[in-house]
Amino acid sequence: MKHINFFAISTFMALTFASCEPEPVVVPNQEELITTLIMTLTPSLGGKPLELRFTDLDGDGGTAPIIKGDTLSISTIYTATVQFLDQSGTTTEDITLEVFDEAEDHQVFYTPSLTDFVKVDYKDLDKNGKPLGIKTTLETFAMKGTGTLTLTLIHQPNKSAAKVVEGDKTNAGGETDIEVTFPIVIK
Amino acid sequence: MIQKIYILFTFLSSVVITFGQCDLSLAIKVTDHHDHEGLSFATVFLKEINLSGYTDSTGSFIWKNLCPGDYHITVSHVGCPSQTQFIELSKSKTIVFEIEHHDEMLETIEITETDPNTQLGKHRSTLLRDQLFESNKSSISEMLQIIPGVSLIRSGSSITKPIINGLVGHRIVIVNQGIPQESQQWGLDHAPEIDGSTADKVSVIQGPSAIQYGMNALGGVVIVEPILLNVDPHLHGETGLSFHSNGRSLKSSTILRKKSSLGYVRIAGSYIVQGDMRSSAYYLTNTGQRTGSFDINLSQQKNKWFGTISYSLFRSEQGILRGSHINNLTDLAQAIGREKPLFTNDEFSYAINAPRQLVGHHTAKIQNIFTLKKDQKLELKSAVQYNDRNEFDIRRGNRSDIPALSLSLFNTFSEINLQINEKEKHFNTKIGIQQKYLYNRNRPETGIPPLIPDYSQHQFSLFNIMQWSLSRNWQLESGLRLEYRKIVAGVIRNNAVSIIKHYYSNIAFSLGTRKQFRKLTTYTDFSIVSRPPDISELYSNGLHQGVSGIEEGNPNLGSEIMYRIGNTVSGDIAEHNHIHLSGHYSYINDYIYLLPNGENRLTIRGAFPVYNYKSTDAALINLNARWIYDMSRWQLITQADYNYGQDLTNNKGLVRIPPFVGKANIQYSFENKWGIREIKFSLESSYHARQTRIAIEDDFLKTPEGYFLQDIWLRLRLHQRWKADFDVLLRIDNLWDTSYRDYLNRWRYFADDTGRNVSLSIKSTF
Repeated sequence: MKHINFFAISTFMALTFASCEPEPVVVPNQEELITTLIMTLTPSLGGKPLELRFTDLDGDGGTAPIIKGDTLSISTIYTATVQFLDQSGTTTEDITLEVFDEAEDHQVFYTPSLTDFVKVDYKDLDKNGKPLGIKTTLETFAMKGTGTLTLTLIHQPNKSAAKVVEGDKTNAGGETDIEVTFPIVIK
Repeated sequence: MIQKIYILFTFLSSVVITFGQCDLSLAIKVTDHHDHEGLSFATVFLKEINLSGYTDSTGSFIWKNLCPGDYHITVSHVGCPSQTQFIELSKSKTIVFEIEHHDEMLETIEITETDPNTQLGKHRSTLLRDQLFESNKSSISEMLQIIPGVSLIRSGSSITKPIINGLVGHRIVIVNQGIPQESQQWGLDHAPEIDGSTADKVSVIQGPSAIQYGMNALGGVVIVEPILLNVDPHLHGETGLSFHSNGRSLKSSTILRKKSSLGYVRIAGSYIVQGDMRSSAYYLTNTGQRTGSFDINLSQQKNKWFGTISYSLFRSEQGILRGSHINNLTDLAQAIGREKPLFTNDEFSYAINAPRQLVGHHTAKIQNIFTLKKDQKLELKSAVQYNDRNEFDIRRGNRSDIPALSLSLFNTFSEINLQINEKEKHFNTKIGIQQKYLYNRNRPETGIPPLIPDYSQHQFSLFNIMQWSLSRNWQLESGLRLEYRKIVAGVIRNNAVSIIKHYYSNIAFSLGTRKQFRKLTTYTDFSIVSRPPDISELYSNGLHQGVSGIEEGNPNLGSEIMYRIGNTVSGDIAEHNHIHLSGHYSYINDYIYLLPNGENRLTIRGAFPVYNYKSTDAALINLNARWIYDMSRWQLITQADYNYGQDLTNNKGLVRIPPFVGKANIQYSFENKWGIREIKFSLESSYHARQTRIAIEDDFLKTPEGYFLQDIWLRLRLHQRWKADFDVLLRIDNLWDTSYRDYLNRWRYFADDTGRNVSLSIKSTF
């Protein structure tokens, strides 16, 4: 009896005063973070490449992201590639490779503010023969003006749904990993 | 629905016995708890000699010519759960069974001499295993729904949290085996990690005695407890198995009790396997669960000491509806309000994929009660809890198996209290001191900045509860609590860590009075409770999946102060007519809640609305009414609950307040027909009105339409066989396979609620 009580009370006292010293807080290494998106547009007939760029080096919150559009020429075909980078650390990591590795589970969609403002065609395929959208061609028409081009990277889209292979994301479902709207001018 | 409150042993004048002589008598008296009058036609059964009988008009029955020895007496009454009591008969005895004959009222005074966990609880609503069996629900929150004023906030069908009178989360304390449960309760999609299926007793208490459990008890306290202290040396228990058509689930639970040389042992365990649930029209893809629990309790009583040690484990893996997992506002626009959710599979599956939650909870407890003098008891209790929560999202680069949120919470709790029950002076008091320590860690392997920071929290509290019986029909009760809390948080902002300290001193005070007029009892209470902000309200930071919003805490928040006044009237208004009416008004100064701040933050994933924790002044009104018409075989139960919540600063309705609910149940039961001991049939109907008080800017969609549901069940209590009682329950929930969406189900944006469920349960009590 006595020793049970002693045990009980000592456990009680031990718990009452038990407390761990906080260990140092660890800042997690954000492997999936994408800080930078670059879309490079090279005129197919030669000329200086153009660049649409999104940068948010400190990730969500903090300093607001910088979005830079560009001026395109009328009636031109551009070969375009997209790059997703993590530049938050001292070294730059290319997240595009991860997207390539999981090509069947990803698709980039390009949505202009006005139809026929620009036209984007897929130039790459995943192993099921469905578009990925890292490599594209972008065509401008005779129409001049200002507008926007929205680039969306969808994770786990339904690529078999109607019009998804044509670049229409209405029926694609999935989740948005990236969604950036660039201002563009066509002169 | 019907239960015993306590059992009194009354020893008759001593009869000299000669060992071996079979001339003892055992008298039984069965009384109604409310008026202490005898209950006639209660069945009494003496197992050892296999003899049963009925009580007479005074509620009495007597067995004569019994030999000395050990006996099990079972008492049951139409519609009541049977109670079994073990006795060692060495001289003639009278045993009084008090039956709570109208427990639908669920308003009972409970001061027992023997059960350490239930002392001092004046305003209390209790459910016992029998009701839990009939409702055939597996989560603790769903079980509580029968109690007036309790509703649920849900994420699908199996992740549920109780709302008591419009208050949820941090404003409710859940006490498991006398220990306040500590887990990540800030999340509305984080269900309490407690297994309800093996609880003997589940109660909700409010008023002065609630504040001994913490400042968070301003909404109420949910108490889950096993019944301990059985002197029976034989192995007893129950085991149940239940199959549900919706989700094709199998649920099993077992409770074993025995008195051994070590003391009284209680062991309980349960397991649930469930696949995808189904709405009336489609499968709810990825909504399966695997939940298991184990609980062991060892208690001993010796002279002036009562001790318990216990350990319990709860582990649950829950799938999150695939179509509810969305990223930014564009996705939300796609997923929301669809006829059929995205990613719906046409095939049923038991698989649980990302998004999913995996939660484990461990509790170890040690409790000692010393009787110092006849009327004084000293209680020491300590507990350690460890909660481990992992949430998995759909991630790129094979990271779906790495949790996106991984938190471990370590907690110690200790309490010393002194109880003085001065019967002569009609005065009871309990004074106690509590210590609590919390230590929360994020695992950095997630690769995602934490939503809740790493923190430690120290808490010291003092409390006192007093009760006076001014007369036989009039009691007064008061409660006072002082609490000191220190929070040290390691907050990460822009990849830099800052250590921030917060100190809070809070006070709670409550006064209640109970008065009995003939067969009606009124209970009035007034409380002032100040609750310090929770860590999530101070430092939440990040994207909350499923609501596609960035949630930001506010480190400058102060304590919220609630002033509440309430009145309850319950009892018999006429023969066979029982009522329960209650009304509460609460004014909450600096009520903390999450509001959109109007900003859409631009990120690489698109735009997200930003929600901030803000404080406002709020008012809550809760009205509950229940009427029971009881004609022994027939029973009609009607109930209405209404809650009104208003943000007084912004002059609009509060979010997440349950809309009006009306219920009507009709039950019919009869005994000894077709070779079955008792047959009970019930039809339950409920109407859930639309919540119309939500401002358009505070929600993504219009609130869903009201709906009407019907459930039916048939319970057969079979005759004893193989020394065991068998119960069979056939139940159909959502009888008409109605398709509906509930305002308090967070998946309502994406999918219909669950459709029809046919379940069959078998339980054996031995």
